[in-house]
Order: sequence, then C-alpha cells, then structure tokens
Amino acid sequence: MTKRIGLTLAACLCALICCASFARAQLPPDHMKSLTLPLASPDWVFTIDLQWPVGLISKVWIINGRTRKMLGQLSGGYLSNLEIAPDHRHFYMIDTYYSRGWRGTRTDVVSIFDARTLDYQGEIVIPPKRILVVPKRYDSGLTPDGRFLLVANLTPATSVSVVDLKARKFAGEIQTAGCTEILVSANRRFSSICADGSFMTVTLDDSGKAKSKTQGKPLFNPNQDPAFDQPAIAPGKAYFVTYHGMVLPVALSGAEPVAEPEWPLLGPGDKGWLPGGWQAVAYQQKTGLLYVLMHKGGAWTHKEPGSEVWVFDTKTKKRVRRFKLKEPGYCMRVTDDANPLLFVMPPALPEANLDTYSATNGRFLGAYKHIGSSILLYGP
Amino acid sequence: MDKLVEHLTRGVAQRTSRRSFLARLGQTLVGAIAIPLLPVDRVASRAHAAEKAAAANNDTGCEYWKYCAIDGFLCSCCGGASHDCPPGATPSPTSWVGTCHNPNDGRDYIVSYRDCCGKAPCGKCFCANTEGEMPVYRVPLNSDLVWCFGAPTMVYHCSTAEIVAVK
Repeated sequence: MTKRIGLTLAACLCALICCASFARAQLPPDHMKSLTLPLASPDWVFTIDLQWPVGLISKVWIINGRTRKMLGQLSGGYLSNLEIAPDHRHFYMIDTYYSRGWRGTRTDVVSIFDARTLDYQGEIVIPPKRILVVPKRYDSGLTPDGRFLLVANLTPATSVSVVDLKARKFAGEIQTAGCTEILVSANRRFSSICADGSFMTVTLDDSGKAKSKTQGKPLFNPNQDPAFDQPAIAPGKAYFVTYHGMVLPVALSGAEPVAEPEWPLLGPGDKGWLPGGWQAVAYQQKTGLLYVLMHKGGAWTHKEPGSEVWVFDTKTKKRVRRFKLKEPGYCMRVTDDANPLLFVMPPALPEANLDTYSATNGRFLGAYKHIGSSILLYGP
Repeated sequence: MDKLVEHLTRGVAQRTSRRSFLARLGQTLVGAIAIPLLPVDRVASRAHAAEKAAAANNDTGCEYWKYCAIDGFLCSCCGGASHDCPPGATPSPTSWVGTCHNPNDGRDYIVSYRDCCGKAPCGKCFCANTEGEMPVYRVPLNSDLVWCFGAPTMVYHCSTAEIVAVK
C-alpha cells in the first residue's frame, strides 16, 4: 500500500514536471508588422496585371525571378502603366480612375510608391487623357536622370503630358500630332512614332517645356512592312522587328533618330517563321544579343504567341541559338546579370504564368504560375 | 486558351492534311484496307467544310466572317448582337476599321469595329483576330485601344462589328 502511494506521488510529480516544461516551451505572442523589401535587383520582374475581366483596378506583381517567389504587389487603376525610378527608390503607376468605379468623373494620376515599403506616398494629377490601351511598354517613359515622367495621351488626338517628379507636379502638355508612344533617348529628349513611319523628336528645357520639335522623313514603310510598336531598347538604339521578319535598328543617340540597315531574322530553311506576340523582342546589353519570339504562321499573325525563341548577335546579325518554349510566349524580358534569366509569359487570358529559362542556353528553370491576366513585363 | 489551342490545332491540321496523312498511311497498309478509308475521308472533308461555313455565320464565335479583325469580348455573347450593344451599354461613336471577306456572297466588306462602353468588361467570348491590324502608331487601324472616344465613359464593355460598305 505504502509502495502504491509512493508510485502515485511519483507519477503526479512527473506529470507536474512535464506540464512545467511544456509551459516553458510555449510560443511567444506574435507581433504583426508590414515587411519591407531591399531595393530591386536585376533578377526581379514586375508584371502589369489587367485583372480582366474586371479591369478597373490593375495590379503589379513583384516577383524574384531567380527564386520564383512573390515579393509584393502594387494596386493601380484602369489599364495602368508602371515606371521604376532609375535609382530604384520609387515606383510610379500611371492610373485612370472613375469616381464611381465604372462611371463618374475621370481622374488620371501618377501614383508614387516607396520601393522599400511599397507604401503609397502621394499622387500627381495629370490631364484625363492618357492613352487607354491594353498596356504597352512605351505608353510612358522616364528620363534617365529620373526627373521627368512622360505620359502618352490619346483622345484620339495625340500629345504627351510631362510630369516633374522632383517638384512632384504636372509640368505641361506637348502636342505630338499624328505621333504616339514615348521612346526616351536622353535626359531632355524623347521621340514618338508617327503614322507614316517617321519619328517626332522633342527636346525639353529644364522646366519640362518643349524646347524644340522635329519630324524627319519616314524611317520605315508601315504600309509595306509595319514595325512592331514595342521595340527592344539598347543604349542609344531601338531594335524594332517587323511583321515580315526584319530587324530595323534605329539609332537614338543623335539629335534625331537614324535608321540603320535592316537585316533579316530568317535564313535559308526558315520560311514560314515570323516574329509575334506582345513584347516580342528583348535585348541583352552585356552580350549584345537580341531575343525574338518566333512562330510558324502566315500574314497577319503578328500577335501569335511564339513557340520558340531565336537569339541573334546584333554585331554579326546572325542567329546564335534557338530553343523551343515549354508553352507559347506572348511577352519576354531578359536580364543582364550573372547567369542571366529569360522571362516568358503566355497570353494574359485565361491566365498568365511567368516561365523562367536560362538566357544562356534556353534551359527551362521553372514557372511561377497563376499571375492573373498579366500582359507586360518590366525590370529594374 | 481555347482560341490558342484551336489555332494551334488548325495550324497542325493545315500542315498535315488528312489526305497526305492517308497517303502515308496507305503506303504502310495493304490496298484492301486503304481503299475503304477514302470514302470516309470525303465525308470528313465535307463535314469540315460544313463546320467552317457554320462557323463563318455564327456571330457568337471568333470565326464569324465579320469578326476578322475583332479584338475583345463579343457583344453578341453579352446580351447584345454582332452590331448592337447589350442593354445599358453605349455604342461608341468612334471605331477602328478592318476589311473582311464574306464567304456567303464572295465580297469584301469594310467593317467598323465599334466598342460598347459604360460598363465593366463583359468577360465572355474573347476573340483576338488580327487581319489588317496595325501597331498603335497607326491609330485608326489598331485594335488594342479602348475605342470609347466620344462615349460617356472610356470604360470598355464589349466589341461589335458593323458593316460600313462593300470594298
């Protein structure tokens, strides 16, 4: 009996000790906060998601392309565009809002976000006439010094709104009759593409007003072979590809754009292949390589997603590689860092993915799936 | 995606005709087996032609003849019709234009692609046809733009195709 009581007491003591040790191991209370980000690195990728078919509130996905992990998002308005400050400290969304969602008074703004916190910092109201189009890369532009943000307008009359980011105010509007899009070529200079294949070039003064405006002769013939409206930009040069499969380099380093000799994407045995997609061409500065989304198709297949990527050396004008894509690509972006990445997105509908390949050998590295109706790729 | 799959399938179909497939198959089979296949092939071809003709006259599908350059959600799937807006949506007074071949009468027509505006995007029957479609710097021939200029709001709802004239 005494022994039994002793055993019971020992068991109770053990239970108490166990409970005490469990109590010591319990988790501390959580303290909730908002995370922050480092400044963007070259292997990050930003996508504009239209959020179709709702469409009135766009979204930016910020993804680490190497780890394929989402880092955060920005919210925007109707058919928004994005610009990334050259020092990477701010993100700018160019938005349109109606006061009652789908009706009411239209307001166009440049929304300013802190790049570390992704906090909204403020807005600059611009004329309610920005181009409303399925977003394209050159609907807006930022001067390399980060001073002026330029926004293409289309009512359907064409003009450009100039935003002074230093003063955080609208600086004025510049008429660009018959010409649209914004290819920034210097701190105080941009060119727009005109309907006849010529370019209108505008220089700005330090207050953002037009100092000069010139329009040269056509550099290509859009009636015979239209150039895609989203070229790849290299330092001082834009590489256009055309509906019929030519590369048209346009030098942007001088006072006015100058066309360099065209060269073909197709060689012997390539008949039937054409460039196509949305962001169909990308340039890698370090190597001088041009990446082009290619598909097999006929006339008017310029928006056909690419089944392959063809890689060209812009110095020799020769193809150096081609590789098949895991799924057809509509948009493309290439990084310029060590072990460079090639990001490829299929069409936005019904749902986009971000496919990642080695830009060096075309090896598929993995996908970040389900990124809404993303239609445009940006990078820092 | 349906459209893409359909397009890719059509591409494969165009590159690999039934007859060429049958010809290759026939080389590997004895004639007694191949011959009975030929009537089946004719029937299949007729069926394919009938399907194509039906598609060219179905205004809720992307292959409808007037939709050769349409880009967006079809109003005919959204409570409207091929050239009418759904109730409550406003026809845009402005448009982009295309030229489409009508297989029923063999004529080419100038087609005005007018958006219906003033409601959030419809979301049904998305088509992205591109015949004659030009980059955005050729504004009147570009279909990526929201063609609601002159409408009460620039909020895009769906797309229609209106015959303007015979070319």
